[in-house]
Amino acid sequence: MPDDARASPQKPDQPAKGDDGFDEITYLRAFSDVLDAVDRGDLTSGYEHYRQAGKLEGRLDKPEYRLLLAGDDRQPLAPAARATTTTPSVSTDTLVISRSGAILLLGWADDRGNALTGITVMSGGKPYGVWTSFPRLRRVDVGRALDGAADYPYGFWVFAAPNQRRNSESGAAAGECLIELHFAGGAVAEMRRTPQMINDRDLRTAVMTRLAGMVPAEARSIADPVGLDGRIGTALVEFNRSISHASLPGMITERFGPRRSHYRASIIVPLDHGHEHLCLQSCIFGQSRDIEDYEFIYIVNQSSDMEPIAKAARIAERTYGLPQTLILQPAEIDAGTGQNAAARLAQSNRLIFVRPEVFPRDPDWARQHTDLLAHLPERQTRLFGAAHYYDNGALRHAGLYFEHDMHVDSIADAVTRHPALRIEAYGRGAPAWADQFTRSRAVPSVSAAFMSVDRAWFEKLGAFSESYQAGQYEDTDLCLRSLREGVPPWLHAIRMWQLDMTGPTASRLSEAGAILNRWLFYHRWASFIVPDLLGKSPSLAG
Amino acid sequence: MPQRILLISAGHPELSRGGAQQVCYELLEELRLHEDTRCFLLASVEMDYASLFADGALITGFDGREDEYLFRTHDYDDWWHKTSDPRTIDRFIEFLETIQPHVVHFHHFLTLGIDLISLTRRVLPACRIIFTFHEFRAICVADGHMVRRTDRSLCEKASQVRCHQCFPDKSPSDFHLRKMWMMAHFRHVDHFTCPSRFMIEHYVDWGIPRDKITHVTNGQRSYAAQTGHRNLPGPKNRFGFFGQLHDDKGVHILLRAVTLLRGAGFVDFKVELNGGGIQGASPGIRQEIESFLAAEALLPVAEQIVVLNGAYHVDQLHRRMSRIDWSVVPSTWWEIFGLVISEAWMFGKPVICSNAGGMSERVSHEVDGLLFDMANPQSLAAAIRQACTEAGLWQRLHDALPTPPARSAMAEGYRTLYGPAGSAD
Repeated sequence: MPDDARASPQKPDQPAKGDDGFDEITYLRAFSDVLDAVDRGDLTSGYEHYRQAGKLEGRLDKPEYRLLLAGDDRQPLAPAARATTTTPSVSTDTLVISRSGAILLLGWADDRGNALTGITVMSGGKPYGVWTSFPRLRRVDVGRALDGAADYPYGFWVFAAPNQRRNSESGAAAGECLIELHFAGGAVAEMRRTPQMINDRDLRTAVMTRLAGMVPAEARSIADPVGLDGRIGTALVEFNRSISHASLPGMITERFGPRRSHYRASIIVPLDHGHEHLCLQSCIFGQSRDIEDYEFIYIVNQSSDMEPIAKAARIAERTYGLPQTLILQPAEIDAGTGQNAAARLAQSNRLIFVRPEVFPRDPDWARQHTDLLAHLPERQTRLFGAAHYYDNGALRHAGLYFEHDMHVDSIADAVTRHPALRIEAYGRGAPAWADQFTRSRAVPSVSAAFMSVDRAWFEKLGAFSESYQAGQYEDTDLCLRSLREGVPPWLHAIRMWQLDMTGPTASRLSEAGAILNRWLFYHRWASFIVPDLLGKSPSLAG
Repeated sequence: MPQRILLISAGHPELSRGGAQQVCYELLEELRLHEDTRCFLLASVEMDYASLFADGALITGFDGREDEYLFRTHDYDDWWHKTSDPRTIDRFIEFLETIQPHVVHFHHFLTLGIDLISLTRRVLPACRIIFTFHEFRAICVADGHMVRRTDRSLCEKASQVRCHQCFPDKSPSDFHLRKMWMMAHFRHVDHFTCPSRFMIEHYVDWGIPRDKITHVTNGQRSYAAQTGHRNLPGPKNRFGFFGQLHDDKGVHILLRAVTLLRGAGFVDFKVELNGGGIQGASPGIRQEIESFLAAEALLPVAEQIVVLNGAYHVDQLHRRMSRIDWSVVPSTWWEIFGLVISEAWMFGKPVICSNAGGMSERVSHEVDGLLFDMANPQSLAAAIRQACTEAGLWQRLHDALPTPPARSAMAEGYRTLYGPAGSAD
């Protein structure tokens, strides 16, 4: 057994699994309202709730509790859990707490014979975090050290955001913490550890980097490849969002060139692909007639890009005569939040979100856009996208649709189903003349590579979700909200190149963001999409 | 009111050698002879000469010369060919607003920025913009030579996939966007010119409208006119190379031909190399040239065939030309025009050159010169042997030599495109 772990067959300061059959972890696992109350700091333990209310409510007789208590031996990870009270070998690798009170704990437990069912972290005699479900990881190193099965998921990790508990000040956990690992057989392993204190951003980086490392490439399309549903996904999303929002006051705006009080449309570009794209887009988008009625708003959040982009904006304004607005944001602001901030600054009633690698295939694109708005029914232009092409001329996408998918894998002799929701592109790779893909029509979703949306409608829908990372899914999330409100997105015959520029490779942070986004999107929308919106020809109102 | 013409040159020929700036300056001198024009020159200058702009000016005069200006561009991006410095843009705007040219004639965009074309159109909406292509830089990232990096063969057609093969670290999309960027600026040009006709097909194929591109020859004053140069009787077995000692100029092909001939026991000829810049050669070619010359120097003088004379200025041409009978132009790229061909003709020297591009457009095989298979030392060796041994050949070719294009002819070609004085007002 590792040096930092001390085992007791039974936790001393908790009631024994007494005559009435109370078990702390089983109680928290069975009743999420109690777990939430403990998380928030409203209660110190499940037992407190049991004494105050649960006993009277007869909670121990409720099926969800009885089934859990009796059913641990049906769990694939713990076939012999009820047969022993032997405390498994355990260890913790990392305990990190941020200044605001977020917590990350990583460790492992050899619970092949006695399933790990709960984890608590106590600080100053109070619960700091309680988890009854958590992601498990394969730990080959542990398997080797224990001379056990290499593919067994010995590892675990838990995370909680500061806003999940009332007593979240980091000071509460500045000293030594007591970590308790609860096993199905009633054993509790205790370890004392002093947390490493870091700031929120570093903790976010630590969590997201580990998240990226947990998911093999072949599992990246799975909705929840690491067990984020056990409240950890929500915690991570909220933590990211809180960091992003905390950075908003650091945002500044710079404007270049003489401005009008009102434009026909505002082109909003998250400039995450190198500073030269500002000049390139101004030049190439700027060839169109009517372009003087459009303003450009670029969002910059890489500090190393800000000075070059400010210079580029000045040059573009001088050279092409197009007014430029730069929104310079701290890097922590996520894409949705950034684009919403840009939308608030727009001086028009029409927002056009454009990716920096997108360029018009037809030089007169702005005139086409203006004509669409003037001549089509308003419902067909409230939110619409364009057809996008590869540099080789083939169609890249012309609207998006959904497919449901399933992956299976086998861990510790148990085969597990993993659902996945794929966002597919209409006409990917089709020849440019295949107008069945590019004709104007309602579609389930369009990409924010080029998305034109009525500003009032955008605001009524609540703008882009600010819960996704790195500019993914917020476009489809918006489209689904529009659809839910009875207005499907449309695809219209504006043609755009969407290029694959040489650029930086994806960071671990953005890989983790993609994993989290996929989980969040599935979590939010699977029930809305499946089964009615699946396939290439779903029934769309409007 | 005289027509104000602004020539914008990538470099000044007195500060950095190069055909484009030399031709541009020849044009300036010729246009100044016309009373109905006032001609200005704005020439870019390398950053190495920063002290020319001691107080931070970006455009300044040149030795007090009237209407001649030097332009120091900053933060040049040699992928997109644009400046990243707003001050450069501001100074250029001020310059245009001050000069108020009726015609702006760009001789290249290199070191200046292709976006200056769009800027010029914005500042001077009514001016006439002429652009002269001096090589294929707009089409080809490989130094504008259209020589494939994969096998050194001539490239007939650019595409994003083929360019990606030459530069695997750049994606096809990078090349696609680069072309869109170039074209977006070129749309402001009223007319394009090329010094060779074969170039027109390359640019039309690339996307320049055929009715907007014209051949205007490169013209020069005659450097032989005042020298009293004449060719002497005797054997015609002296060969000269004039140019940079770079891979694409093909001096290594000439040295390999010498080696083949020497190996075959044919040694009754001499080769003089006139040029420098070997530091610009690729490491392998540089080593080949230097090893050859080092071995040559170890031979007894009577057995030496090749001698390196080093770099030269055009004023020294007549002395160097007086020591040769033939000019060899073994370039391994298209060689857009070949000023060295014109210079050889000025001194009455037939040319032996590669059978490609501007060289084969200008030299007719067995009529006024000899062509050999490009990059083929055996073919060049055969041409040298023929030149040395075929009785009457030199005289026959010499007698048929064309008169090299005069700079007045070049200026007239451009003046036609500029339009009549006052037409832009």
